Amino acid sequence: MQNSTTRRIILAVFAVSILLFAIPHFYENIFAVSVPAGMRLLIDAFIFLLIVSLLYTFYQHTRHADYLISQVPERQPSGTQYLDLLPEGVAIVDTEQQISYLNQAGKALLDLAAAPDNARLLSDWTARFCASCTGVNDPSPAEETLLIDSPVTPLRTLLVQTRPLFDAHGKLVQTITLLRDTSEISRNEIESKRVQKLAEQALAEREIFLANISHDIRTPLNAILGFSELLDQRKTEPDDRTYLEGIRTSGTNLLALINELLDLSRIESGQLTLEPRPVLLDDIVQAVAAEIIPKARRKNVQYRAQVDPDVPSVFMADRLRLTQVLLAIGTHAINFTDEGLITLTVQQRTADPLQGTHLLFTITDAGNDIAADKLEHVFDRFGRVSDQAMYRSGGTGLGLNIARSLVALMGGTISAESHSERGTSFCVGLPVDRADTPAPVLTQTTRTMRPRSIPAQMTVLLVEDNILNQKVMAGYLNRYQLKPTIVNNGLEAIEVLKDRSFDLIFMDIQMPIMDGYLATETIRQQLALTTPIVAMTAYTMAGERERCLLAGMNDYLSKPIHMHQLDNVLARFMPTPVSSYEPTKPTKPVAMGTHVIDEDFLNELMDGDDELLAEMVTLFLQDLPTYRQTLFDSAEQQDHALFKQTAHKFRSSLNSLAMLNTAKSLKVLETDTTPDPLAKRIQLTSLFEEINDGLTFLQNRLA
Amino acid sequence: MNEMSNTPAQTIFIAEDEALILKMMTFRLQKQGYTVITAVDGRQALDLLQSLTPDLIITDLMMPYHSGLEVIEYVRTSLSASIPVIVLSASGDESIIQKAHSLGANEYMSKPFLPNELLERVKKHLG
Repeated sequence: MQNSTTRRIILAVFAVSILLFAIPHFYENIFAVSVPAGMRLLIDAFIFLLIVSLLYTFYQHTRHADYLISQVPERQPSGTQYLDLLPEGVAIVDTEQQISYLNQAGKALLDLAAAPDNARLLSDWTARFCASCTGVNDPSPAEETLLIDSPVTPLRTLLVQTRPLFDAHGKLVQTITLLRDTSEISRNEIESKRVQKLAEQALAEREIFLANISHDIRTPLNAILGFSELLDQRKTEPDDRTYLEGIRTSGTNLLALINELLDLSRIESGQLTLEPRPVLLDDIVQAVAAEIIPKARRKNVQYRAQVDPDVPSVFMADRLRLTQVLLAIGTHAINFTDEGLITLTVQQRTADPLQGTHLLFTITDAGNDIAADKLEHVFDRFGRVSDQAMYRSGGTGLGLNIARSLVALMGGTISAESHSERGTSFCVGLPVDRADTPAPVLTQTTRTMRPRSIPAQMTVLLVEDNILNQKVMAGYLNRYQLKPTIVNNGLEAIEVLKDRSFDLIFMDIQMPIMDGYLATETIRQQLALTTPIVAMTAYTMAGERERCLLAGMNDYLSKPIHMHQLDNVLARFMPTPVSSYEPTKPTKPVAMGTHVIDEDFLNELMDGDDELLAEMVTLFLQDLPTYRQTLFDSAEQQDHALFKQTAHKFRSSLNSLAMLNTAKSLKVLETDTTPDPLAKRIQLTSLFEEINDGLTFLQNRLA
Repeated sequence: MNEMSNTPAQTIFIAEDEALILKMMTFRLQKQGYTVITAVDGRQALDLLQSLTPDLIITDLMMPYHSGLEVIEYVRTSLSASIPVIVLSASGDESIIQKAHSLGANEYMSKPFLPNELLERVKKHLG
């Protein structure tokens, strides 16, 4: 039934009937036409009938409308019925914190039948929310995670989201809350976190395992390489040299393998970080050439490096790591080239000046071209293109893989391209920042001091538990005519240091009873000695050097230790860096020291009494190490006041033993405030040489 | 001063922070029959001088805690105007030597000195 149609008909009937009812009056009053009484009666009756039928129709219509209205709730579902269909829970909470409505899903989620307390949990949360809604400035988050417990179901996590409902006056009347079960999501998150943690733990454990393996391999390697270096110094038969070379090459290869495995492990655990500093491109190119050329020579291969003139000579890079990348590629090139030319070119890509400087390193070899399908695996771990070539070269197959990771860390790209019959090109594209400051002069670290410049009086304490490595170090030091005092662990070192002073201490790190860190801390803090300590460690973990320096050590040698590394360390810490110093003969002539002691003065002082002399020499020897240390330290730190004060007092002691000239030399030094600690150290060193000579003289006289 | 000259064990007080010089002086003076009391710094010197009055005082000028000048000042103001004081110094700083004299030091000896020179000066004052 169309209501609108009915209404229109009713309205039309009503209008017509009114018109008809009005017609007789119309005639009579306006046109003054008289209508006969019979006619009027007829018309009135007709109109009456019309009105009655009209009213009936209206009554009927109203009844139908009522029927329709009464039918509506039964045929259409209510709003709350819709809400019951939702899988999410919906709760309406009034301002009294009573839950005035909860849909089916909500009832199930809160499990009110089994755990009525959950209702309060929800009320409390909405109460907090309501409180924040009235405070305009500090709305609490409309979202929170509630933990729902119930005796029937396992612990669940509900994400609750609430919105306020305000009345026309802006007053908060109710809140509507959506409840969503996120237990599954939470469980997945927890599980994935657990898996991730396990993976990280496994990676860390592998890192530790590798570090320990590396330590345990380096320790015997130190002896293997050390003894072969020592043997190589002797006159040996040609055959012996070949054997020695074999031992050394094998040892070096083993070391390279361990280094690469450690690098790989660090890359995977994300512990490998770059240290960009201003570097000279020339330094890198030369370092690569220094490694590649000897290998190339053995194989009838030429090597050439070419740098374009527009390439910046100084830029920011991690020098060691960039060199490592180029060496990995260069070594690969050597391994796969039997004869011909290997070139390294460095160019600058100037496509977009806005994108900064972009360098392109290309290494092209003349080896057999690599098939395309194998070329794409060239950077894979152990991605040996030709097992035979790798076998011959003794490589590990890790070099290029590490190179790729390093280049990625540097933000660059690495690619390989094969030219048929013309070898393979490896390209490394690297975005670099230009450096304004010139690179630090690196030649200092490579310059080595001649062994003969080390004074024989230098006293060295060697703390090392491994007997073979004790022998290696002793062998190295013997080459400088130094005879170290050897102890087996940190505790023994401390016992020795209580009675004797040394010029230099070599300290192993991992030792039984007391390790190198603890020993160093004890020496620095309890014994308050400033004797230079050089760590010798087979650990190469990141931060190991810092850890050693933090413990109070002055320098760090990584095992296996090469003989030439000792040159630098001894040059750094020896009392005299005078290169013209002649090697001291092991036994001093008895007459030595006569020029130091003023004998007349001495006789005057002692009145010919050797007892007094002996007592004074003893007193002098007691204080000598402290004076010596303080003088060298204050000279080094340019603490002129302390130097002057100490020198002044020490001068008195020198005079009291008739070392008058030495005291005068010290007086000159005392007033010398040149800001050159090295010059002062040289003079101090020769001064203490004099004193030693003088003491030898005095002791001979007493003997 | 001369009234003490025949006493066999005259007491000499030495304040000197340098162990070897102190040893040497002590040794040589003891050998001459003097009783020697020593202090190794200015503080110890002033402490000891609270409770003893030596026949002669030898003091270094540069010492820790209290300088030789303070020792002289204490001796002259609180102890005795007549005790001979010999000062030792390696500095050669004229103004300090002047100061020592103005405070009442009798003799000044520049380091290094020969023990016999010291013995002569001591004998001069103690007879």
